[in-house]
Amino acid sequence: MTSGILPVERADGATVVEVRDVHKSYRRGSEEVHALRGVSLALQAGEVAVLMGPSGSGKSTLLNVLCGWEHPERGEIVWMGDPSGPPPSQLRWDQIAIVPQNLGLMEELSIRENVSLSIRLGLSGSMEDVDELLSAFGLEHLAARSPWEVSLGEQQRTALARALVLAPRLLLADEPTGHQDEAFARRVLRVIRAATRIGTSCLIASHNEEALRIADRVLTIRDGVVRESGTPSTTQDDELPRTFSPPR
Amino acid sequence: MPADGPRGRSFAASHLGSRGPLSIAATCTGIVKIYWCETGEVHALKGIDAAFPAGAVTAVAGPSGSGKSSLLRILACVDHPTAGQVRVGDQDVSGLKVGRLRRLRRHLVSFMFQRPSDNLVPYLTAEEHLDMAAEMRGLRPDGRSVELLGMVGLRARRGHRPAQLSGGEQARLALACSVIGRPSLVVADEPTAELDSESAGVLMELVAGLAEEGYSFVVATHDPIAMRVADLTLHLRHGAMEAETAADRQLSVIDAFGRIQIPPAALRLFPDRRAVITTEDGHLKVSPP
Repeated sequence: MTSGILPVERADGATVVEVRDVHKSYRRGSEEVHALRGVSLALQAGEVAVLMGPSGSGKSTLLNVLCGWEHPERGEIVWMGDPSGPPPSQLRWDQIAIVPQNLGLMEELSIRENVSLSIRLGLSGSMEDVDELLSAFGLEHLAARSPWEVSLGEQQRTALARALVLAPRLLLADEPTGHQDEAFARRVLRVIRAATRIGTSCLIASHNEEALRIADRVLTIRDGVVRESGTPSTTQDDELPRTFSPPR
Repeated sequence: MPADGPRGRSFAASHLGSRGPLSIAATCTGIVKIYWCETGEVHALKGIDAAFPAGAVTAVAGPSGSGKSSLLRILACVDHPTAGQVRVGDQDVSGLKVGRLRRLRRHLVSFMFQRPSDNLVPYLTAEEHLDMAAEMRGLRPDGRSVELLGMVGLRARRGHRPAQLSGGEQARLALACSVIGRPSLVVADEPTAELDSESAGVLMELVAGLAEEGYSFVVATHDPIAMRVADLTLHLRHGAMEAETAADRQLSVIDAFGRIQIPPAALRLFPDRRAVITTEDGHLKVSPP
């Protein structure tokens, strides 16, 4: 995929974020867990990297460090090639959007209002994009319901739609198909793939082999060490849902 | 029990009267909840009569399957009873259509989930959460957010996002969000279940302090720390009210049909499930045959 019309920093291949020799440990009871032991990687605009690894291997810790929720003990996170720039924790939601396993939807708001939260908060985004994402995730008929009234899978798709409304530079998603059936898992992955057309870089932590079909790169994490484990053949653009054109 | 209003009200009134004239935040009258599933009907609530005092903490206790969650969902206006009447604040919410109920709920009730992070949006800072809650309930930003953050001990954490807060801090932030706009009722589902005992104690002290200021809480819980601050505890068993405790005095509940539950420990006295009931000098005696 090439994106001649995109600004340079959004064009494929531009480095969005770089992780340099990051170490992170935490205590679990009396035990010290070395979750990340010198992780280095770079994520490029317009790519999907899938992070695989067994439970407890450090996947969630890596996502948390990348979005600034946890601070590395050693090493650094460099955003957009600027080591003196703001730390990830100070970047807004249109820069880094994370969909953690705890979805954090607002129960007082409808599904559509949850997805359009950024507009409500005065950030950018448009209701057209909101409706397009609701449709892409198969949520349009549930738009007026509250999160209480829909399944966990539908709640997860709502959280993904909310994350993508602002067309973030980096999407971090922790097991984004974890609550989906097979058909919706494919749909979720294709919408994520479609988001890369405008230069969003996606890092997905997943156990789902299906995720490999949309991956440009597969990273494997084991015992706190990340290894590049190959470049699978990715899903072609013509397999993506035609209804969805990512927000600009 | 004098018939002076919703059944169950007079007991609470007699024990909470020291706080001045008692007002009621919510009442349930004859609440029945039946779920239909593939294996048949499940009678989750079998005629609950209860009054939830305003400016107080009401704990709802009972083993799994006793109907706590069903009662909480009905009080939080996210589910309808199959039969019976529910009033929250000055609204009869039992017969409202889904859309109207949803709009009303935002101003009437707030809900705290068991897992603290489930109450919070990962992108928003602590202060933004409060601004958002205020906006949702139709209030203008007026500096109350920072004041509320100070009250729950999070002033220094105003710029932090949920994942940068501890579980106890997340729960305190969720509590601050839940009271903004002064809803008629704050419903909390086991709010201390995922907290260490110190954080649970801090949270429940804050809840008790807010109740003193006039906020009304209904808290489903098994936790002695949470029960300790309750002004009134409703004990549910098998979908019915077994007993109420207020001011350390526990009373069995007699339902609208005259049914009363034998405490589980006394059931062994009645292996045939038959009893002789006699009235002597104003006392009721229940004996094995």
